[in-house]
Amino acid sequence: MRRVILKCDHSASTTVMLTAAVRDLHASCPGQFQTDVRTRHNELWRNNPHLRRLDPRDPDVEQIDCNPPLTQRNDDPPFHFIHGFLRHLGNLLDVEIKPTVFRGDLHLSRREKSWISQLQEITRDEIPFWVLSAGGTFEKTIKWWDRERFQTVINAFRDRILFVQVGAEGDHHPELSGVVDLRGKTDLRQLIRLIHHAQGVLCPLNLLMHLSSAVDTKHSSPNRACVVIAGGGQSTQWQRYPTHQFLHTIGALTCCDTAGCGRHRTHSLDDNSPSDSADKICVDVVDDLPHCMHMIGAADVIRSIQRYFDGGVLNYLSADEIEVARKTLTDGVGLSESIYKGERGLSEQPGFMQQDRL
Amino acid sequence: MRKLILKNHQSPGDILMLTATVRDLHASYPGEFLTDVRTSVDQLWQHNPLITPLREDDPEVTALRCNYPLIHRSNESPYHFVQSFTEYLNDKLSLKITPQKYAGDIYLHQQEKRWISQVQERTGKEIPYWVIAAGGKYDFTAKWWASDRYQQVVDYFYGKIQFVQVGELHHYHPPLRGVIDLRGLTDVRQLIRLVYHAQGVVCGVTFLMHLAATVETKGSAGQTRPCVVIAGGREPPQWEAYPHHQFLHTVGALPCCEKGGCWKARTLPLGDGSEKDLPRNLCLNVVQGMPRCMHMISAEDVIRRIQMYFVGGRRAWLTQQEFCAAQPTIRQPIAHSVAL
Repeated sequence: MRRVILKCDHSASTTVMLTAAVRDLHASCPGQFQTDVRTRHNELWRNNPHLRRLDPRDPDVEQIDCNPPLTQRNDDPPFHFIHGFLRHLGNLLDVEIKPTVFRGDLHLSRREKSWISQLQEITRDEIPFWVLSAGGTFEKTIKWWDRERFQTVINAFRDRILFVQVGAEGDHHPELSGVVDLRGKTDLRQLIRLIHHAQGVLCPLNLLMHLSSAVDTKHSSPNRACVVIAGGGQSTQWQRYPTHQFLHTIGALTCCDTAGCGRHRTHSLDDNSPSDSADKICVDVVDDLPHCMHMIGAADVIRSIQRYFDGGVLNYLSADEIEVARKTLTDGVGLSESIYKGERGLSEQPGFMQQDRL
Repeated sequence: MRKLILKNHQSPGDILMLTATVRDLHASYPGEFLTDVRTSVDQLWQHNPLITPLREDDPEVTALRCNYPLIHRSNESPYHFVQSFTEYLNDKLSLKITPQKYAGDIYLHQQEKRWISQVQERTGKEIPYWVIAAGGKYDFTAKWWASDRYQQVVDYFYGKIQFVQVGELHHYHPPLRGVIDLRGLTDVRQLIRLVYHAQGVVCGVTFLMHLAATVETKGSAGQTRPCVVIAGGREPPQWEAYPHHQFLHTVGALPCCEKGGCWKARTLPLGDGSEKDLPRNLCLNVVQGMPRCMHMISAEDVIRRIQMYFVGGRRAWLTQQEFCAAQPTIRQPIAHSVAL
């Protein structure tokens, strides 16, 4: 029995991929390993049955630095991040690890599952909702999409979908109206539980996308709806999950013709960050957005969200739920007055698909 | 030096994936193998430098009938079709072949590249065009999209994109108006050359989709070719989609493909005695003669995705001269609505 401590100091998204690699390591090599981890995000490992507490001072314990190569460029192999990571770990451990399922491996205790959601703490009634991330870190401003377009999406689904906006304090998450505002109010474990209760997720390429796949759905449906506004920053095969609607522009622009550009920022922020070096700055900016993100219209996102409802796996808010949503919003949790003072949702405007999309 | 003969007699799309495996085998084990093939589509192997004629009665030769059981894990696992035969070889021969790229492996001879396209033979002028396959085989009618929607797409881009319709005569490829009609006029090699010259491709999940990703782009090796794939919910995206394609899918959006592709064969029974007519192979959710997953994809969706390639500035619309050059070659057959 080999005893290994896996070390990774990368982002939470990368750590979610490591959870998958640990799961698949044990599936491929049953009984051959005892594993422990040292990562920056312990909340992602809570209740994980594959971990054993190992002492790094024990001479029998191997300590493996498993930070993966993160940037995928023109010679990308045909792998998802999950697959790439477990190949990487397999090489480090000199074993073959076969991928099992297409998701990270997060575990909620039965007790956690029994708790009501943070939203229900506010609404008191249980209603379906989507989690929305409308920004991101200042290190990767290239992933940001336009606040106004997010607002257009929210308006289009007024009285149909209740959005809950999340985002870490200190990151860029512009205020939106017509949403329940939980920005800065979720630690990582709370975010995981919020997603557990969520019907769907709308986000750019970030942790939320990985969580939407990795976290069990509350009612045991096999997958959670997720629309990802991806643009051309990263290669599709490296990021895309099968049941997500993944809006990308790879192949459509010179700067991301064959793969994601791997750049970090739309404009320089003059903060001496490694993300501010010239080779990390977007080379094609339109109206302060990367061209690739600018090409994705609000109607593209609306259409992608609609698919899940048109297909019948999800239902829009019922009349009772609409009342709860309205009451929640009018009670002052992130409501813009304009929403309920006569402004029509985009979907109610005649011919919006044709005009906005084409 | 190990000698291998790889055998497979499935469809052209399958054989194209086998070309990738041969490429990746040699890349992973340089100088260690001699390879030959016995497949149903010899034209996919023309000019392939990795093929060495081998005899099956050579005692040093290992002949291997290639399958891809990986498909049975395609809904759950993060594998692409391009890895399918590779994994099989890894298992059968205890190898560790590493997939190299997201494409098959097709070689065009320099002379072939110099030839003008079948389109230019008709127009007398080199014009950019998109290849469109608006149908498919009768054994997988669940892949078909409505002919009138294809027509809407073609009509929308009138004067901007010249479409060239392809398809085998014994398959279902209803005629479209306003296209250059090459249905029944391309063998596999000709289709490869047609794709080589093509600016873009519109199709379902077909051989043409794989060619769009595999065949190099004329005049700009390394540049990708636009391709919009009308996929629906039959196949899992990670198994079929190429990174730079716009792959319109509904997996996860319908109960019948909530966990992945349904892998059903036919929309409705055709009464031809085929096993594809068995209930287990029939679509569970049919709307107006189409699988619901395909019905959910509108002409506007496809138009929007095609536009992306032009809005991005990578490609240009037809010029007036190019449009005029194409006009005499366009057939105007009466388009029929899809009748399933």
